[in-house]
Amino acid sequence: MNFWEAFAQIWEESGFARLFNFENGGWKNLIMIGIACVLMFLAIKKQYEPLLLLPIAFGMLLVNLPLGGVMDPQQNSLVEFTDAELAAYVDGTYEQNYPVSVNYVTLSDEYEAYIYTNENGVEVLKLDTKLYKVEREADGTARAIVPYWEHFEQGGLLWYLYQGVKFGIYPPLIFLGIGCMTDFGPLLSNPKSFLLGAAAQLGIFITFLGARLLGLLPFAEDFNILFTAQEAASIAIIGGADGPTAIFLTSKLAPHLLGAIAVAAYSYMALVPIIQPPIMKALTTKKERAVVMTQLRTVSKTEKILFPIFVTIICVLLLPSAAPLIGMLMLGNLFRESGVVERLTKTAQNELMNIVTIVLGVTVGATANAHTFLQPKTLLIICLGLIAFCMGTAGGVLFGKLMYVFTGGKVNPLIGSAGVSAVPMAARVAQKVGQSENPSNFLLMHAMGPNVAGVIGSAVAAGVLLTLFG
Amino acid sequence: MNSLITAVVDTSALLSEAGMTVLIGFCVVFAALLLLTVVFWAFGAVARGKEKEPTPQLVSTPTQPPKTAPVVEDGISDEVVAVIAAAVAAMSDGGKQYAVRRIVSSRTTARPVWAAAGIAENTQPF
Repeated sequence: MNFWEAFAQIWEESGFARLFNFENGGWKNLIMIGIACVLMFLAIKKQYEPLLLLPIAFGMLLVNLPLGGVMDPQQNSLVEFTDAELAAYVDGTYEQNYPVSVNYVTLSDEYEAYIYTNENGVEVLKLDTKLYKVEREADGTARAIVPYWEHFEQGGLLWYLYQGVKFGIYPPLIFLGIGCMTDFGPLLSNPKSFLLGAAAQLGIFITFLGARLLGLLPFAEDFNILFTAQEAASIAIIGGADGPTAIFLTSKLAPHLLGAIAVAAYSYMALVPIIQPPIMKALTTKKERAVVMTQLRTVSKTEKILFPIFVTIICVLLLPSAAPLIGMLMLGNLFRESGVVERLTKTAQNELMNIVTIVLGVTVGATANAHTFLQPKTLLIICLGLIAFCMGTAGGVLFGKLMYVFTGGKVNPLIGSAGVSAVPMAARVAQKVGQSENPSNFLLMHAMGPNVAGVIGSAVAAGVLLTLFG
Repeated sequence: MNSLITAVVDTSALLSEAGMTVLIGFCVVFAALLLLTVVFWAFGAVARGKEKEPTPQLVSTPTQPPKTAPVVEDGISDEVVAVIAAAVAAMSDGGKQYAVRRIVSSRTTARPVWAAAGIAENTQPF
């Protein structure tokens, strides 16, 4: 082998050769690498939800580098012996390099003609070129021993880490951390906020309807834009504006859409300050936006401690499938409010949350390979996700208007927009839009109520969808 | 004709399935959060009840009459002056004496400018 031949061989076996092999779909990987770079730019330069968007984008980059094998599944298979191996096995001279497992095949009488005793006194079945050891049962029935060797191929790193997503482990752990970081005081001092959190889930269900009805379009089948109920539910949950909930539900109902849905969910959460204000302004009058709400009452420690316990009991009894999300969220909150497990609280909201965020982000990003991501469906998921977000915002604001009317103008409808979760960004947007009308108006704490209610609301909505389609 | 009937049946089945999901889903979410609203509203009511101070006994205590009459801004009715004076008298119940010297109407904004600036600074990071 000369220098150039060796160089050519190295090139052919490299990822570069695969990447630039356009006939074999290398261009798709190049596009995915481009998308990953754009997402990394948005995360680093524009700081769009960098904590998750950055690992997601890097996971996407890793999985689309050909031959990297980071998401290759573990292989467990049984490989048949070759003729020579079978002969060696019968003679007892087979060198066992791999674990061997055997199958017993009961032989009918017609095989007796093919059974003979070899020089070692062992009964052997000869079928064409293959030799099998034969054993006799108590009644004299012959059975052939068919050996296999167990082939095991280790999976890629991210494939192992992905099992935490697949089995729905990471999102509830993230919820544990969120629970530790969330103060439900504003919600407790104004329990009506729960209803705003519920109204903002409108986007989820409207989008579900839209996604399903797309199937009625005459060209739906041709363009592969038919969504099953499970897929539609997974897309619709983007409207909950809650990344872990979206990942949890999608991993259960439509894991093949995980990459697209996670990217859409986190992108829109980052774009809340751009998406929400025009809708909020369009649906409210200047007078409504300028409403100054009365100061919230102080919530006692007892109320704060009882809150997670009662929410868990009520929600889990009502929707058992929401137990992992609601349970972990409330456990985290109980850690926080009880004040007796400070070490656990700190760990859950810092170290644990950070570790899980890294593996969740990278592995979710790694599900976005060129084959599953570059589909017409992905574009539709991104469009439907936007609709879900807008409808959720509109639902919250419209219900806020209703509350404005019923309370005689005491509720500022803008706080309804915060019901879409996206904590605390959505509450901050409500504060900003309200303050632009009346600089002395501080809606932040009032908006935090619907905001955290939205987290519970979207988890409940996920539980409903899981119950219906899981 | 048969394919047309199948298509109509499929469409109506799809519509009814999607419609029912929306209806059931939204109703369950609303019902769950309405239940939580009621439960925690009741909690709040109980907590507020406990926090309330016991109503002061209507025992007449000898109080010193004010030495000078308060200066009352024009436009403030006698009833308002009486209410403020009563509130101050209630505060004096613990033994400490207070005097009403001046009654003026407050500014129209809910918070003083400095308080508003302070809150703005504190909420800026969010």
